[in-house]
Amino acid sequence: MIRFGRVVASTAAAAMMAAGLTTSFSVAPTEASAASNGGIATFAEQPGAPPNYIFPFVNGQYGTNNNQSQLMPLMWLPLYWIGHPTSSAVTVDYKLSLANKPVFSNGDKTITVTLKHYVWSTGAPVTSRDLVFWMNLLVNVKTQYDGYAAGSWTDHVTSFTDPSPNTFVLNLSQAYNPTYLMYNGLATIVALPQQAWDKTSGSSPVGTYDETAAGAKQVWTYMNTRSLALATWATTPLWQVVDGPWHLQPKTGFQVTGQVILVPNKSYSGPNKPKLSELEELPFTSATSEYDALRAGTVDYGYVPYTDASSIGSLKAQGYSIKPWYLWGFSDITINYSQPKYGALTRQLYIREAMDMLVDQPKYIKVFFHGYGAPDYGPTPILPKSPFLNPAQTKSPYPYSPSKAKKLLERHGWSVPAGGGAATCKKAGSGAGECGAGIKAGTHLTLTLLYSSGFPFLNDAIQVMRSTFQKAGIQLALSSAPYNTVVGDGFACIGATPAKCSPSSPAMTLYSSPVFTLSPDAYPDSDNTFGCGAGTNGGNYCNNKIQKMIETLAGQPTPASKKTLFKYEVQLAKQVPGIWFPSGVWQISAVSSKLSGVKGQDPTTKIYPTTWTLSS
Amino acid sequence: MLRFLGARIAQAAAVVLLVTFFVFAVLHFLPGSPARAMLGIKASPGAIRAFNVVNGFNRPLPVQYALYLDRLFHGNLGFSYHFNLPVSSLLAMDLPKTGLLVGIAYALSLLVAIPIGIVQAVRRGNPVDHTITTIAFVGYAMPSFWLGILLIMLFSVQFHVLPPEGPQGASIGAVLNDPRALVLPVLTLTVITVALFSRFMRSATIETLLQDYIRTARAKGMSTSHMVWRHVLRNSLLPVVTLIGLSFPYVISGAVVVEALFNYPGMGWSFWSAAQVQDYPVLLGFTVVVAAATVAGNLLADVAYAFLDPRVRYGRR
Repeated sequence: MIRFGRVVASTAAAAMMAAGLTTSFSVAPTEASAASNGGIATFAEQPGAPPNYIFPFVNGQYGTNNNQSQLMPLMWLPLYWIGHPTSSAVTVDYKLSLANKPVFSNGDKTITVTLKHYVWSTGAPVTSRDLVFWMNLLVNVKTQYDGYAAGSWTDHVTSFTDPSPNTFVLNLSQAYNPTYLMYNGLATIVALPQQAWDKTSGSSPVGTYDETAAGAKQVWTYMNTRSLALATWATTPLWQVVDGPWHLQPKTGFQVTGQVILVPNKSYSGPNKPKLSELEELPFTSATSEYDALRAGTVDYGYVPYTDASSIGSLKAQGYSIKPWYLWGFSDITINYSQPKYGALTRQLYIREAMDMLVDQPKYIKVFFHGYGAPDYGPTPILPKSPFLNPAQTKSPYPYSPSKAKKLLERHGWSVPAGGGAATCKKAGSGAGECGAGIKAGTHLTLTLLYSSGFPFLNDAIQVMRSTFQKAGIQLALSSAPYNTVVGDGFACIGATPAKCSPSSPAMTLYSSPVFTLSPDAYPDSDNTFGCGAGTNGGNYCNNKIQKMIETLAGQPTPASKKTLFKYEVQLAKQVPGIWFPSGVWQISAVSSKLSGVKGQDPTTKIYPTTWTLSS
Repeated sequence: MLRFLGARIAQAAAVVLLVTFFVFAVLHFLPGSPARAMLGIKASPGAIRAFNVVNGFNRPLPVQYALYLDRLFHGNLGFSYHFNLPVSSLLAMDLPKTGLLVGIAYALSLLVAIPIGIVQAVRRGNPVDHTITTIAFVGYAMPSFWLGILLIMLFSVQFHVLPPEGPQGASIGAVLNDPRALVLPVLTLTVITVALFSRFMRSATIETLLQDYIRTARAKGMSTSHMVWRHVLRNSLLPVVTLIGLSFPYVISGAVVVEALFNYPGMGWSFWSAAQVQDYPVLLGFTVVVAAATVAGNLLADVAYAFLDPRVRYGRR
């Protein structure tokens, strides 16, 4: 008999059993802070996206939700808070803001802000000097700031002062629509503790370096370097100076794996003081691992991957409540108007109208998104509801109708094969009933569409879309690639003319769903996406009428701008600059029955753990 | 032997260098750009240009490669713009964790697979052999993510006796502080690896059992257990040693599926995440380490071979 093998194998098995099965598992305990006994709530971070930047003056590379929405605002308050803890309204919450409503004067070129009484965790008051500190960094290091766009309000700042500790005055060279400036400007300003952060190195004393251009750059460089030293976040005293309701637990508050432990700021002077003793933001390598943790009951506030949406019933049976979290953003299939081979086709409005008629958004939401999504018929999101949405934009300007789409093409000189397939242009020319400028007779109506792989619900929707397009006479040549590649290819021709755009670039691109988030610039004019030559206008869409509206929107006073915004939404929707596509929810949230106080989900993805309580 | 080792080390260095060149070239010819991947859809062309300048991507490729080699020879593996950590720090964090997970799994696999393989070989053709073969094939054919999910469903969701995630600590000490959390990921890897090793062991043992000296030993009345322990085991381990050497890179590179499933960020998961956003410093740095591990593994296998089989002597002609 061979005994040694049995001995070894049984010893190994016994060791594993002994190590693993002594008692039921539990979440590894952490040291709770001393103060309240409100319990420890766990919140799941998005998979593969742990926080990686902590300095609130965020540059584009780090302007992601994990940093800007779910870490920084809990510790450093923006001047004006957009979003609410108990609803999904995308409006300013003055109760949570650092300042009272701003006063516009001098033809809307002077903005006076009065700060409320807030204190830093050091005991020093939050003053207008802290806002001046921010502005000094902004004007001197603007290219490093996530919210900066050339020609935006930042480029029109003439001066900013702090005539008194609680008064901040901003002067601009041109007037801006107050609502536009609030959402895209004032709400993005964050008070920074000048009395602790105005340094150029670890050993330098706190000074007023920010008051010179060179000094401001040095301050930014130092703070950026500290922010990039992830391993030191929890041990660096810098990041313990906060005015928000939370701060990192000293020494153990952050692990480079992405786990964040926040404890209440005892000096917090604002409303809604934390009731929890600790908030843990948990990192996950994949949505699957998060979902497993959710089902095992180790996550209080998590999410259900779309691929597991059909098993939501079992989570509900466990006591979780399911809440779709709509994002403040919209989706479309981006069209590359500079594509040398297909541009002539996509520049025809009737072809874009026909394509829009072939996307059955409500059906896609029901079947592929499992009901967790919202249609997009224009630049302003339909869900969550907002005062910015023109009721006329809640309906598609071109309702789903494959037969109408086919007839539209035929009316413009295309011949659609009997069983479907690429239509052929029979009447070249740019007159009525003809195919359009730049389209020769015999041209086949074929377009390439590149979409991101790795999203099963998108893939299914695209396959159905191809079939519908085919029947109406538009042949889609599909290809998929990883998200990063699709983004790269989709923006490859930005700013290029057809002569300089590669013929192999895709005619259309679908990055994901939702595609464009309105953050940090929350005003839904989408100037960056649809403005001529704008920084995010990857397809080079340009319409003079639309451009004039965009320019007007930024400068008009509020009552007039609402009318212009409504008109702009409908006009842009009808222009179909990109094929409107449904937006999936940001996440299908699952909230444990132990966790109360999650009344609303902020579409800008901020969280409100100050309102959460745990029951035992 | 020393001359042999010296030559092999020089060869290994050349291989690693060649690998860096190849990987560098492939990475930079892939579609997409790290700038757009990192800065996102809303990045302006100016921001993209600035990113490329800061990270040196605006320079000609040969210059970029030369600069990379210069940093490499000075021990600088670069800075990950995705993880915001020096690549060496990321390695220092991930490598021990992955080594621990996969190393334990491989060690357990060997402890189980070697005796199983021997038992199967000695009893080949009988029901015990067939049963173990069936189980081994089932284990080998099972996708790791499927097995992992099954184990989580059973032990974490259904019975709540084991955590669904691996240890969450960033350091090896923190990982070892939570041994229960290691059970499921280790078990997942072990089940699949046992199948592979046991089949190799079985084949190698059968071949050894057919040798003349084994027949002689039997004829002289040696007991089976004595014969296996004294004569069969060592000779049967030779192919397995080669397999272990070839598996060494996997210990270093990690098991990305298991790491993703059990929320255990290690080498595999970090590499995969970096690949999503074309984080070149991480991809290159990890490749250098894995390439070095591969050549080291092969070298160790060759040295072990010489130890196990006295007929094998390197460096002599």
